[in-house]
Amino acid sequence: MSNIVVFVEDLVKVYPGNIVAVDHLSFKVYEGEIYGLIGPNGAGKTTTLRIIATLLKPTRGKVVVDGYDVVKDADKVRKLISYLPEEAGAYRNLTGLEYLEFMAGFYARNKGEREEMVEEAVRISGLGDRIHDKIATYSKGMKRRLLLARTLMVKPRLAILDEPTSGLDVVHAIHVRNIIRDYARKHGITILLSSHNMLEVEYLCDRVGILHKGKLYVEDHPRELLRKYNASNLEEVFSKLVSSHA
Amino acid sequence: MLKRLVIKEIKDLLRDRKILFGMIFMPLIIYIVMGAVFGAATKYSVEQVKETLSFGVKLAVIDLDKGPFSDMLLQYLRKSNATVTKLDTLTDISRLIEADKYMAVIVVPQGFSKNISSGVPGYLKVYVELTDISITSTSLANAITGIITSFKEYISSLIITKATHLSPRFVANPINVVSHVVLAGKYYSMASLSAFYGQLFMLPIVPMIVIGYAASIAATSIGVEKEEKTLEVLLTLPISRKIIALAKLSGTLIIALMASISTMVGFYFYMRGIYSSESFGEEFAVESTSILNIIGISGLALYALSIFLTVMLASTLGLYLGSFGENVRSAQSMVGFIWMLVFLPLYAAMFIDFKLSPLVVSIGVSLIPFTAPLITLKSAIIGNMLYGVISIVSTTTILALAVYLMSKRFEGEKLLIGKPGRRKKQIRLPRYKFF
Repeated sequence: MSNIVVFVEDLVKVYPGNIVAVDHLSFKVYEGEIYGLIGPNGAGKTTTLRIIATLLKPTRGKVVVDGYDVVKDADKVRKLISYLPEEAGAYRNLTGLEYLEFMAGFYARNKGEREEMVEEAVRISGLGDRIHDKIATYSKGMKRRLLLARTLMVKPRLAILDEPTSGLDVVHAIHVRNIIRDYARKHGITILLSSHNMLEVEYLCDRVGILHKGKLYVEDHPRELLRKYNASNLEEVFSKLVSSHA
Repeated sequence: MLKRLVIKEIKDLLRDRKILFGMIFMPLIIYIVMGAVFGAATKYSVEQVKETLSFGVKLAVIDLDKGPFSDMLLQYLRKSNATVTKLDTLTDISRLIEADKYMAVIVVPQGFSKNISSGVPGYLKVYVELTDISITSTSLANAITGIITSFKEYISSLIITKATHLSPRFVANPINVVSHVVLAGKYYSMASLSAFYGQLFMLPIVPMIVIGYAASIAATSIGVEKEEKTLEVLLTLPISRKIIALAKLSGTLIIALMASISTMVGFYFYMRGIYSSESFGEEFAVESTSILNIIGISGLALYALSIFLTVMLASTLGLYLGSFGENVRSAQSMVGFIWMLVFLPLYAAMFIDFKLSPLVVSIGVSLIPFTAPLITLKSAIIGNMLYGVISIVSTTTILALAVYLMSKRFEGEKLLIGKPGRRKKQIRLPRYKFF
């Protein structure tokens, strides 16, 4: 068995107003794996990712990234992760290249490493000469590709991608999915992503966890889930799960 | 890391056209243009008055006295290049001004000459037309009444010469008084009083402008992060949250400094534009007695420290309060009241007299945040540093509290999840529907 990179045990997150976003959630993500958290809006996917990314604090439970607790060792966890939020933006007054150089500076140990990261990011983004233009002039798809390139260029121990193809058209979504899959395979990066797009998850993930109302209903390999629930796609699996829990 | 973040802050803020034009170029341009316009308008008015006077003002003198002094008045006015019409009977004055276009009507009542000859003041009634409510019109009215005033002085000198054989100038000023004010054991001329007064009003303007800009830029800085959705990524970078907050403060201070320099340069040109016109030339003689010279190096250092601390406090409060907003606009509105917090105590502190006020009041005013620049200045002027030190200690304490609150805010999760009460209820999705 590979090393565990993400360890979540009995995680609970209650927002002010007694809103339970995550309800006794437990799962593990292994090294080099692409793990997908899937579920409808409000299922608790983003909250879970934000806790793992050290942005939110758990109400209860334990979350460990590569041996470090996300609350007690938040600074150490941040050195291991690279996070792409669902509605992320970039500094619109910087050029794409300046943005990448700025971000690479926080991870690279020297100038050479920084240049290497930026070069890699420019390649991943596929922005070509537009990388020298201000981000304010980019389309939504270009911005998302830039942000994904920023997330992956640092070759993190764990990449956390919240709805990586959010708001993208089919062409750009396919491009982004290919980047994620190829990069993860090539560099052995562990990826934890969230999505409500079943096709995307089936295509990308080694394992998926289905979330609903903050609870994890089931987790397994996508093909195994289809077989177990005798379903043709993951949407059908989800429907059956929800009705059986009703 | 800090340097990298500060450079990014400055680059991002300066490339924002709203900040670049609104806070740096606009004050410079507006003040320069205002100065040029007001200066040109004043110069134009002065030239118009001069031109009108050079062609001779059209005056009507209703001479009911017909005595030697009324004759003298007529001769004096004619010598002053005025076009004078003598009328012997009392006529409707407004008709003379409105219909006959006289710029002024002077009524010399019966007994005018007799009164003066007998050592009793004579009376003159002067009616000057105000063509409009304008600088030109009021200046012209003043110039015309000025001719009458100089006639009065002329008569006075004649009487003095005839009665005493003394110099009229001597009689008017038999004693030359040389007065001094003593401030903190040093002597200054009385003329310094008006200079002190002017500077006391001008000096707080500098910190006020810087403080206002600092609070506003700090709020913008955090508001932009939220509006552009860059904050989440920033907070997951492998850097301390304290460094992020410090970088924002440093960036803010640099931009606030640039904005303030721009404003002060603009303000300088504005004042120069207004006061360079001829009418104000002599009145605006710059006094050599500067408060900054009086307070010396140590006082100046304390003043600079107080400005730095208050600007830091304003930036920190701006960043803290701005973080409650969801975007630039709401962040800006959160800091709007800082102006009032600055303005009122700062000007209230001008009226406090440390020697005449009770100790409790003086210390109380010194403890109010944002009064520090003025308190240290006044403290250094009177040579009693107690209030300056109290003010510095108070500001530093409040700043430390503000920094603590801000760092807590940056370290906590509330920076992202916003106001708890306003969160939407969890969405109840229809069963079996995935999208």
